[in-house]
Parts: sequence; C-alpha cells; structure tokens
Amino acid sequence: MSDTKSERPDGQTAALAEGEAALWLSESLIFALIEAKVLDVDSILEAIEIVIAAKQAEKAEGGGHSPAIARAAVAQLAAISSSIGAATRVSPPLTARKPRRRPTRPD
Amino acid sequence: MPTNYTEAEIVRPELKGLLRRGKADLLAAMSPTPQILQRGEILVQMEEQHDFVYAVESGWLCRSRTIPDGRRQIIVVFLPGEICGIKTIFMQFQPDAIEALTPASVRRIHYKDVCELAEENFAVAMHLAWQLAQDERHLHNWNVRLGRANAEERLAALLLEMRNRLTALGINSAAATYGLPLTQQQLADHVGLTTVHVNRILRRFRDLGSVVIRNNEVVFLENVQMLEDIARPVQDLVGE
Repeated sequence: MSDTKSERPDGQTAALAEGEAALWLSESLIFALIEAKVLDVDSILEAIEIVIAAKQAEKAEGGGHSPAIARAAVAQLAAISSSIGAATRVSPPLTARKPRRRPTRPD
Repeated sequence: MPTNYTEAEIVRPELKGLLRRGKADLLAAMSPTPQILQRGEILVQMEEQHDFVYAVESGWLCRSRTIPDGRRQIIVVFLPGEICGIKTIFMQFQPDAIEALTPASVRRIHYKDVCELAEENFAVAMHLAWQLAQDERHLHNWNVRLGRANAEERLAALLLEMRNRLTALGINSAAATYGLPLTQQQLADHVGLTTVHVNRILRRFRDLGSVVIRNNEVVFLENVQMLEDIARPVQDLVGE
C-alpha cells in the first residue's frame, strides 16, 4: 500500500507546481482564445507589456518578494510574449474536431 | 517559389574532391580516443577559454546561449559527421556554450595543431571554411525564421530541416520517419517559442494528419505535403 503522506509535495514544490500550472494554463487559454478569434494577438501583447511594466516598476520601487523572482517573472513573460507574437496561423482549419475525451478521474 | 536542390547539386563540382580529402585529413589528425559525453554535458563553457575543435562522431550537440535572466536559445544543432568549435581557432573566449543534447562521442584537436595542418594542407583549410559556411547557412535560415516566420512555419521548417540534414549526412535513409532526440523544451528553445506553444502546434500538425512525434521519433503522415507547403517560404535551396 502506498504511503500517501510521503507522496505529498513539500510546501515549496507545491507552490512552484501551482505557479507553473497556472502559467501554462493561462498561456494555453490565450492561444485557444486567439484561435477562436475572441482575442487578437495585439491585445494580448499589450496586456503582457502592462504586466511586465508593472513588475519592473515594483522591482524598481523595491517592492515585491525578491528582485530575483521579479527578474525571472519578467523573463517568463517576455518569452511568452515573443511566442504569442509568432502565433499567426498558416495551416488550414481543421475540418472535423476530434471527439472530446472525458477527463481522467484520479484513482 | 524556391526550387529544391540536393546539397550535392549546389556544391561546386570542382571542390567536392578537395572538401572530401580535407575532411578525411582533418579527422585523421584528431585524437584517436573519443571523448564520451552524457546528455546535457557541457563541452565548451560559455564565456570561458577553450582551445579545441571537435568532430561529432555520434549523438547530437548544440551551440546555445543562456541569457542572465534564464532565457535560452539553441543557435545551431550539430549532427554526427560535422565539425564544431571552429571559432576556437580564432577566439580565446567562447561567446556560446556547446552542449550534448543526447549521449554523444566527439574527437578533438588543439587549435594550434589545426592551424599547422591548415597551413600545410589546403584541403583541410577549405574543409574548415566549408563547415563555417554551412553553419552560416543554417544561421541565415534561422535568422529569417526567427525574424519573419510565424510559429507554424518555424516548427515545420525545423522538422523538415532535420530530416533533410540527416539524409544528406547519410544517417537517415527513410523519408517517412527519423529519430529526433530533443525534448519539447529544447525544440522551443531552438524555434524561439514556449513549450506550451510548441505542444499546441504539434497537436495541430498531428490533427491535420501531417506529422506526429512519438517516443522521440518524427513520423510523417499522409498529409506531409501540408507541412512542406507551410515550411517552403522559409526554407533555403536545399530544403533546410
């Protein structure tokens, strides 16, 4: 029988996992919204620029948790911005959507 | 629309023998015992002094640069049979790292020995210039892609470039499949996208029936023509 207590991630790992999951999910949602033409690339890039500017202002004012985290966050945002900037689609639209799979239930 | 030639077709015919001989003579002068590298091992450290030129015997290596905030760009991928680190002949300190993307083996030669060899053997000097020209051609392609191509074009071009380079080196003979030992993070670092974006495009290519990556193997599907069409505007004359 597995020891569920020992499998639980420690606080720092859990926080990092939550941050990573939130970031990846947000990015994936942005691509889905762009593809569905709900949002355009320019609006997204402007929104990211605002977050970067806010983060840099916070860093300059000595606020926030740590300069290293702020710098890494700005780098992540810049990488996402650059990737989204290349998001124009050239491939043809999918003719038929694959049937949705039911979400996997945890055991 | 660009015409596709093979690499053999674009090289000046009067130079082919010279370049072959230069490569053979350079390899013969290298260390007899290969240096074994583990995946992720750094062969040349960024911004440090380095004195050797290498020939890749097996595995994949890359030239990469990591900027201080942690973002990283894979600049060039080196495949078996290619020479890397030629800039060590000219520069004491290296601006980029060279690292093993897979388990790899390389043989090496000191830059002073390369200089002596090149001075007495024109074919070796020409082979070194040829390898630099090849690297430069790859960089030009990626300059165009990173500057002007969208995400789908970049990824389609990368998947086809690796197929065509492996075929030109005689490593891959099957047109429909090849081994691609790169993680999605490494693919993203090469094409200047995020991992999420790369994953999304690969799923799209799969759903469109053009290509799928399974267990580090690229498998071209019935609609591979669509991938070729997407990549063509940003490919060079040899389809790289």
